[in-house]
Amino acid sequence: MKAAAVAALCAALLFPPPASAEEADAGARAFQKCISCHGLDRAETDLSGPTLAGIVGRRAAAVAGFGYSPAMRRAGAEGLVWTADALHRYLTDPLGIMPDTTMSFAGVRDAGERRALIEYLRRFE
Amino acid sequence: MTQSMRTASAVAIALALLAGAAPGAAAEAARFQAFTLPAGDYPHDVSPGPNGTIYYADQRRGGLGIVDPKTGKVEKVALGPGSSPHGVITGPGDTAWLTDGGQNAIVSYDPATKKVTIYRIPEDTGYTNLNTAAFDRKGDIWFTGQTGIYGKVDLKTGKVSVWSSPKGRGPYGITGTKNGDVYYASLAGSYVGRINIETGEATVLEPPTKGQGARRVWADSKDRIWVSEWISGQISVYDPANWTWKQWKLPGSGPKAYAVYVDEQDKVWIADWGGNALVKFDPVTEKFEVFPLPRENANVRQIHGRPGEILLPESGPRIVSIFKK
Repeated sequence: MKAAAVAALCAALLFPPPASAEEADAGARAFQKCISCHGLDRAETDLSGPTLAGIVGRRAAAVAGFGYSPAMRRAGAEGLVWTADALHRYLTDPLGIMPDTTMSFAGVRDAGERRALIEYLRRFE
Repeated sequence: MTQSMRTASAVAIALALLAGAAPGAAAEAARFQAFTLPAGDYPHDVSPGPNGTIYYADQRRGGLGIVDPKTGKVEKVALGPGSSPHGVITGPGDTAWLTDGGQNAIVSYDPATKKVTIYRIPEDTGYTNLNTAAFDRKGDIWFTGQTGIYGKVDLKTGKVSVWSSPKGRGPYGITGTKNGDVYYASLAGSYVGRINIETGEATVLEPPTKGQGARRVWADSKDRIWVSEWISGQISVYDPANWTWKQWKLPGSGPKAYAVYVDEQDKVWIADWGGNALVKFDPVTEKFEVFPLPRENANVRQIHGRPGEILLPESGPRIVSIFKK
């Protein structure tokens, strides 16, 4: 019984259920806050922000050729990885958490909207 | 000179000396006067306010800030829940007009009555990432939204209209000319848009350099449109009289032209992030003059001014400063 529960928990962690259409819509709507500067296509290299394709799980300041701020480069060198938790914290208040970043964005203040956004970003590898 | 001005000057000189700057550089640094803001404020744009004050848009904590350079005091004006303004301009009666992305609205503040008025973007437009505003010859407000829109507030009726921009996302800075035409820059689209204020239609004007990242625009006294090019590190100018462009690369290695402003003498001022400098360009001699900013990573996102002064929001150190010309 206990083993079955553990197996179910592991399966849930390894294979999260696909986002519902409603959640996907919420994520796409939330991404409108990013779309001015960020793309989801690795070929889009002429925007003012780096591509967010593959952002979840990527080390900070890791897009080759992008001109990151010294603050973001330093964070990457010190080992910051954009896990879902790290993104969740950062998006709460980017200018408070990394004051010297060049991204002028007040953040996503609603926790549910942040979660939807991060789940949406997971879909773009 | 007030106490706050003396302090600001002393700090500027000390910073320059600490950085090992030459005495000449220290003198230049002393021309910058810094004004401390309430903790956590993030000045994105500035505009001249009444009686020598300076308006700033506080993008992080929300609201309008008003700096009084005579006393160094700062007043904050709440604009509404979720406020996060990017731009601020000054209109008739010294009214401040803000592009408030957090509220997805254009918001005005009348300093005489202290009244705040909110003009919301139509509900069905969705989030627009409002950027900057400018007046046309009728006295109406035009604005940009980086998600790919531009729009107008009819100040007689309060009606807000929105148009989809050519090439989608990107509309950033916007300017009104002396004769009341309106132009905007598209950062992601790398073009300048000329808006027909009668029909709302926008015409795409392509600067000579492809993918240049046109970020902000400002009109001079001859109605020429100056453009700060973020990606190319250039400034360019469009002359609507003969449909011609000219362009110049900023000095230094790796310039990044964020903001542009044209003063009352038609001198062009640029915020260069690559060189962390305020750069002056004389269109007659075609020469640049570089004024290093006294603070590292000043991240000046916009420039404004009034006779004798350049106003700077330094978003890195989160101060507002004045450069004495």
